[in-house]
Amino acid sequence: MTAVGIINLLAWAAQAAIAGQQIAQVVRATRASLDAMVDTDRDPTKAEWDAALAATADLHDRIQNT
Amino acid sequence: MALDPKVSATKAHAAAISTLIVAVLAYFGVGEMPGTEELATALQTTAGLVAYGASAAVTAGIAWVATYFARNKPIQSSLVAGSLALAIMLGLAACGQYATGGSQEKALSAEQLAFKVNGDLQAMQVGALAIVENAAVPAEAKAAVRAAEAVAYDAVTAYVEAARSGSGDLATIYTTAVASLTRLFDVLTANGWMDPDMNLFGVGAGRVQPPPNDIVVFVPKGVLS
Repeated sequence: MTAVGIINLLAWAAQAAIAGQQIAQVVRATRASLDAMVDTDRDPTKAEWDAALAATADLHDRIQNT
Repeated sequence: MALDPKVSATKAHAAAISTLIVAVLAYFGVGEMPGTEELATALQTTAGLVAYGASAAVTAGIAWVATYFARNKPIQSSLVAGSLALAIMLGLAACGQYATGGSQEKALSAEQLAFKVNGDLQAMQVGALAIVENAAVPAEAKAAVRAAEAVAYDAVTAYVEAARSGSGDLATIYTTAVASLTRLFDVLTANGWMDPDMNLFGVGAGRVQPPPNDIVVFVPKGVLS
């Protein structure tokens, strides 16, 4: 394996690690928000919806335009 | 051998109090037993009030009996009575928990469920973004990911709008959204780009464990086998 190949492999692993952490953060944040809603017996607020939908739309745009 | 009544009574009282303390600590300490919040909820129902009231009365009665008999046989009587009190208390607590629903999973409202589904989509989008940004992934695979993500985004967006407005055939729209998420999940896991636990590329450093409870799942139960 060439040095370039090793560097690419390491970069790939690092990229996967960062994306993995981001997935975990999304899951934890959503779960924490849901737990808070269920505990207080309320629906998402407008601000919570706005933030969640903005993040979804942003991810959608980045996926489609990368 | 005759026992000194004063000494025995002191020991008996100490044993009875210890029994009560241990029973209460065990009652709240056992993992699945109701805590303060659940107890407060349970006490708002007749069944819960009866169960917990009976639990407290029976435990207090057994502690009193332990005190009475312990004047002659402090250790044996207290141990037997303490074990019995604990067993009855835990049994009644279980009854109270059953009667009030206890720790059963709460049903999510329409908006809460929509919020969860949107969160599931976001988690998959993060994985999808990592795949399309990865130079090592073939163009065809990226195209498949983009196509599946676009369908899932539209379906989930439609579901969220319907859930928030309370209009439309919510069950059908939900089914469509879940199907699109399942399809996206299948595409993400195809060719080993991501495994079923959402571990990217099988690279150890990037492994992500699924959440320990079932409030948030990537895809609703029963959809994926």
